[in-house]
Amino acid sequence: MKTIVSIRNLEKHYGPKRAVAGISFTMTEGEILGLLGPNGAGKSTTINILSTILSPDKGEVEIVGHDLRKEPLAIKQNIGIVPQDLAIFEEITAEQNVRFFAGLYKLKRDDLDELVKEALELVGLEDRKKEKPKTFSGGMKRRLNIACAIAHRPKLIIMDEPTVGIDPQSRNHILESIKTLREKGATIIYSTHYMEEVEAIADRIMIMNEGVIIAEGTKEELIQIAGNETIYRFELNNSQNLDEQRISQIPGITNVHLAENQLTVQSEKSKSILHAIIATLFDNGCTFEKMTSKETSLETVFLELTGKRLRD
Amino acid sequence: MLTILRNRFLRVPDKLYIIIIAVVIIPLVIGAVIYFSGATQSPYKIAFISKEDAPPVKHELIQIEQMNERPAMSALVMGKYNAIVEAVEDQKYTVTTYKDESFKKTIEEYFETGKLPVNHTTAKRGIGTSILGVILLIALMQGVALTTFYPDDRNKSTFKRIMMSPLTSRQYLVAQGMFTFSCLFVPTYFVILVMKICFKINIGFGLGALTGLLIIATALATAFSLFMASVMNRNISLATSGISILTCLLAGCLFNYDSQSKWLDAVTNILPQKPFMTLSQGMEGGQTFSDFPWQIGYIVGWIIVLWFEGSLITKKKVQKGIY
Repeated sequence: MKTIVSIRNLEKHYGPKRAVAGISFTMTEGEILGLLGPNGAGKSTTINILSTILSPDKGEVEIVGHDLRKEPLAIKQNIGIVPQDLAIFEEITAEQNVRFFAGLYKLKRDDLDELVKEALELVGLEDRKKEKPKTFSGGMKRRLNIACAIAHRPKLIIMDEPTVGIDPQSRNHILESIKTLREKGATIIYSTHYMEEVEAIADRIMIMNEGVIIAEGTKEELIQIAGNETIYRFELNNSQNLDEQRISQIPGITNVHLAENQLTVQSEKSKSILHAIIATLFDNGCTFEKMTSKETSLETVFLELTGKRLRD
Repeated sequence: MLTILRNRFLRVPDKLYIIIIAVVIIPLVIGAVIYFSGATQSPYKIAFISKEDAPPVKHELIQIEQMNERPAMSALVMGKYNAIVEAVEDQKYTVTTYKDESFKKTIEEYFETGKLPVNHTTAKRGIGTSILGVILLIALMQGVALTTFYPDDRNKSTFKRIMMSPLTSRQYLVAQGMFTFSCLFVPTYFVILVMKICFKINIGFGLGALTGLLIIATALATAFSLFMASVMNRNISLATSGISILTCLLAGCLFNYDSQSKWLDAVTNILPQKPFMTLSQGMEGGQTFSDFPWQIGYIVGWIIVLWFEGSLITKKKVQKGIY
């Protein structure tokens, strides 16, 4: 597979603060990379450097085979940016917006008409192309924001929180559009605060914190890092006869904790042992009102690695 | 760049004040200036202070108002009188004026000899120069309003997005400059042309000279507005209007004056409006552009410096990630 993005030891400082502290990663053609991190993690700085509007202090960046320092214009020609803010003109029509931004790239006039139509169709705004965005809903504006970034068919698309504050229907539309873009060969960096979006579309996930990459891999690989386990919680009616030792002896159980009729059992995720736990409880004369189970998720991984919730 | 220029014109209908400035305000002001300049019957309005004597002289170009007491100096500043003349002894007069030294001598000579000096027209500012002085002030003040899309783009993040495309900040500013220039030049030129051709009003210049002078004035206003919009983030219009009024007054765009202060002269001589007024006055007096190489070079230098500085500031701000 062709390498589209290659970053080695990238650093950026704002005064004494190190915003990006020597990160390295590569991306291959057609890959979707989910970029996660709490606020101030260095995601936006990394995106701004890849977008060529911010110069790195150190390190090497190559995009589609072009060096960032030597050939920034060649890189600009090959990338499309979906900024976090709505960067569209409210006073001109949707079609004029897409035509304007696509027109900034060196495209033939005949091709331009076709590309504008294609971009509007992809985001589902073809039938509203003659309307001005000031009449659009938030979700439609977000979709137009994406259309403006992809009309010139960039090889690398960088999306910085493209679904902030929109309805579920528009979000699903956007996620489907992103999958279509990948099928057409685009490589995508997708930065978001919504874990479920990353889970839905990303081939690989990168978690940044305080300017460094703290974890990277597929969803399954990251969950493995945090310990792939299931946690069962029982609200017992009575626990005076319960022998915790007997539950601990069930194969696959890693930890048992009992406090005030609250029983917490941790087990290896792959083991199917719920029936064995319940049988042991009944054998000990214990009944329960409520039982919940929770498996390790990306949210858990994120919390464990950064010490923060994703939307903090 | 054409894409940016087309974008500006597409967005104009939504910015009503741009249309009002370009199609209503600028033509109205210019029309008013031409009308009132033409209505001025006498180029010299003199307040003659004397309790007994009637004015010793009479001339069709001089309008003399006799009075017993000296009028307030504000009457000179406001342009009610061009000079105040007092008889000190027989055939000797003192002349007080804010206009330049040559004008003062012209009036002194006129009262002492009863005749205007042969070269008196050189000291006189014609209608054309007066019109161009006001046009320069209007252009400097309104240029920034016609540059509004640039700060607008910065505030709405579209500028950042444009900077992520292959277009450079310099190309963007050139396109914005072309838009501002055309919005200033076209209506101004059109109104003057209509006045000159349709209403046969003498505006003091031939079409060639007028075109050249208007190009210089609007190019200066465009470069100034781009510079101000690059330097400032807020209250751009307020600051630009203040600077424009002050510098135009000091440079004598609205009326001639003699400062009698070397310091003030030194300051005003730095301003680009000063050589522009000298150039206009000379052109109206029958001279050509080639007679003013220093003045033209100095104004073009200002235009280049303002544009280059504005462009450099914008580039630096983009690189620092401020936008």
